[in-house]
Amino acid sequence: MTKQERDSRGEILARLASAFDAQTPCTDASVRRKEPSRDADRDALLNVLKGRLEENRTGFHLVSDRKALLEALANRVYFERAASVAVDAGGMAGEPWFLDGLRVLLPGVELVKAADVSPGELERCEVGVTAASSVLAATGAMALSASTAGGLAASLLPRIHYVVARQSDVVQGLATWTATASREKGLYHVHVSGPSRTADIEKKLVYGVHGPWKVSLFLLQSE
Amino acid sequence: MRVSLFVPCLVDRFLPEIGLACAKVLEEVGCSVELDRRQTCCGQPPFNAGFPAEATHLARRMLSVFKDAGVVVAPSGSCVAMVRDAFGDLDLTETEFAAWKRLRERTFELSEFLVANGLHVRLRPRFKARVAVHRTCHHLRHAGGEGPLSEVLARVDGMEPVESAEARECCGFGGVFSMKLPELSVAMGKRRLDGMLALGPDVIALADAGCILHLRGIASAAGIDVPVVHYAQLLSDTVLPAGGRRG
Amino acid sequence: MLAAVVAEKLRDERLQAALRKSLATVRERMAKARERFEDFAEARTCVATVRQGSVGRLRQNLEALEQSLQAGGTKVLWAADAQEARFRLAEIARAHKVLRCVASKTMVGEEVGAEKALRSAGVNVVQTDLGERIVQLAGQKPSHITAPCLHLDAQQCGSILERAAGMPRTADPEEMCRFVSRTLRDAFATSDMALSGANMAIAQTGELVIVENEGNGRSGYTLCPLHVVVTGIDKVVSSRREAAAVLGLLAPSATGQDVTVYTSFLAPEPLPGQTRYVILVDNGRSAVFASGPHRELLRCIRCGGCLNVCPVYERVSGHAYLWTYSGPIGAALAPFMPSGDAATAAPDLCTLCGACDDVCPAKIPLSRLIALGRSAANAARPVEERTHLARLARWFGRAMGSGGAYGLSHLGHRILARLRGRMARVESAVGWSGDRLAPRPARRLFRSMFRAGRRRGRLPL
Repeated sequence: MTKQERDSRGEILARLASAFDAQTPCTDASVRRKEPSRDADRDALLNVLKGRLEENRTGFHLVSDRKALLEALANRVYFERAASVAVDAGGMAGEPWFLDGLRVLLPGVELVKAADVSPGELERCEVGVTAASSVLAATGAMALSASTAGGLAASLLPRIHYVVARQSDVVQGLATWTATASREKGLYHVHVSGPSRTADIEKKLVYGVHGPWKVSLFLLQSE
Repeated sequence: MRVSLFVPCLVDRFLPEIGLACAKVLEEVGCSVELDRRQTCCGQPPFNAGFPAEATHLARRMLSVFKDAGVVVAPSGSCVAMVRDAFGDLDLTETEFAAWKRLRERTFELSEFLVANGLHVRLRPRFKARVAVHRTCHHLRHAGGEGPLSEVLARVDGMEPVESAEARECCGFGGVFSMKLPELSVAMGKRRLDGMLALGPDVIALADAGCILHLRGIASAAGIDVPVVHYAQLLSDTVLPAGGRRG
Repeated sequence: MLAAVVAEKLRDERLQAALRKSLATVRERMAKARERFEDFAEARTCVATVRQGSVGRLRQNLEALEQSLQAGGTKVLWAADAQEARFRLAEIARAHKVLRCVASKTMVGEEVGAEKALRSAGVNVVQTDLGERIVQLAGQKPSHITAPCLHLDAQQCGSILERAAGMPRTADPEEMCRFVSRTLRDAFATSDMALSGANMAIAQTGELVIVENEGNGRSGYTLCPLHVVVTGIDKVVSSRREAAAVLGLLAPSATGQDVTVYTSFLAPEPLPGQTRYVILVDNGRSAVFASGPHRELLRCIRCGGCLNVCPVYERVSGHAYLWTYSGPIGAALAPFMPSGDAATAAPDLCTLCGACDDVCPAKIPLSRLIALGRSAANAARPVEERTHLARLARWFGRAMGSGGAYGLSHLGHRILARLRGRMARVESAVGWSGDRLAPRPARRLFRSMFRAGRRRGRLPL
């Protein structure tokens, strides 16, 4: 027998456990969509994303820098005559420049930190603002995450939902997200690709069923 | 090339003209055609109906009959698919299994046989008519194929093949399905027929005898006299469309 | 019995029109979605491969899933059959003193009778998916895996909502939707419990994956203090990677969308202050696992793509299959799961055309498995029917069993054909009469004509 104590059982089981992601004949690329192409650069990804967002009826604002982002958001909030805005302060939306900046530009508007209130209170917010950690170009899906009911409700209860993200976080598609997404304990991920909808009746599309009726992405170009 | 004809039992017993057309086509492209009269049925009906024991019994006979045959050709997508694919699901012995493996390699549907062997050269059929084509399911997916059927039809001078949008939708024959759920079977057949009649065809062409009997039966009952035939009959120039036009 | 149900569906002109229109739309969208893939065939192979691997590791995956879920604080219950699932649901409802429950789409919930179980425990259950809500108000069952009221046209939906929910008369889908959304908003806020299914459960991370377009699922699990998930043991996938592969093809096959509006990955940790149960339901799945070739059916991702392209489904709709699952997947599973009358009836609702085989994202050989499953279906038939069919099969086997018998049976057929009265009865019995005339047996067998031709030196044409 060997001199050292060896936890062979543990080793073997660990190897088997890690075999969850084991080699399969197929690769993530096998489920690849034509667009974006394999070698798509930042601009190409953005082009594909724009097309998908339009198809998904998701509004799109490309803003040059942080100041422009805050102004664009504030403009939309005023345009929608929102008296109350829920913000899920995670990711970019939780960074001091964002929250403080928004507060300055929206003096008459109530900014509610979604995680701090019970979800029901968010019903009265006309607008919900959340950050996306990734945006998937292939489908136009925006990857949000939150670990509280309030945080999740910010992108669900208000009629209007604004998503903020960095252009550098625009990735190819779901396979990329899967490889890189956080596995933080208690963190829920929700991919949103547009306004809530149904086609249950005669396959006719109706929007805004049990979720936001209007969804827009604000993409920060400079980061 | 020597070809052993595999006659679908529906052809043998109801539509011998298809068998004759198939034999004629093969002779015209230079094959010498043999018919082993010991053959009976590939077993598709009992298999289809969920009686594998009876199907196996008939499959065994087929394997035995065609054991020493060379190339085997049938004017039927479903019968060839039965032999090439479904026989593998039967309870065969090891020897029979080996025999099956050998047989499936040399069993072909007519159009795929013609195309695979480039056997169009001498065949120049002429048939001036508009022909609505319905791609029968097993022919489309398992034995025959989209390409081969299109190719053999393209070789017929004067013919105008047309397909409706639902050319690939099941006609509703389905073998024993036609007897188990006749009302549904007929409803599906009527829809297919209507789809093809809307194209104003002189003739309707299919690739399987069962589907032909099914659509023909529906057409007859409705007093529609557009002939429903097997494509081999077009290739062998043995069809007279209702209007009697023949180029 | 099946024939009667089918006849009723065929006579229902509104149903026929609704199905034809809706399915034509969906098929078109599915085709467009397929074109977006670099190589759709390869994508299907990928999904089929990962799913097959996972099904093979079902036991290990389930053990790992249980561990991951429990580590996060989700309670895991196992239900061997529908009855136990109902028992567990009622038990949970009573333990948590549930009065009101919002339910989102769950086929497994349908399968086990979840609503019934909760109601027996005194719970008011409100279906929140628009199609499910309409079907619930009509007292019907859903007729499609992802489109519950596919069998109803807009006017019928409007009538149901008017009658059962007091909606002002309309046949406009948008108005109906607004009405239902408004009436359900209150339900979410005041419900003690949310019942949902799960599209997948990831063994490695303990995440539950739920896809939807409306947002009612999200509303349930976000707003209710108690979240109960019923799901089949076949829903477990190994990893996020496998989930991603499946998600890639799920929406394109189900509705022709690139992706559903919402895809939720629920962490195994319930939200702060929330309790979550996952009920893992067997109800015949382990029997399917042990059924040889039919094990492949467990790869199913429940997209409903096979229903969408099935020419039989298009004519009879989901209810004709007589149990929860319809279309090709329903016909294939029926003989191997507790499906009541469907075990013998559903497999007959198939012409073996193979349209389903062409689209299944998990490449399940559905038509082959339906055909193979028919022998199990025969074994489950009532004695008389089983004996009668077996007798016919044996007779066929004998008639085709030898050259002599073959010739003799043809002769017999020709003689019978001359006895028009008797022949007409036979034709009627096999359904070849009336709108479809039976063929006459040929005067001469092809083989005789061929032999005669050979003797004469040419084929008689």
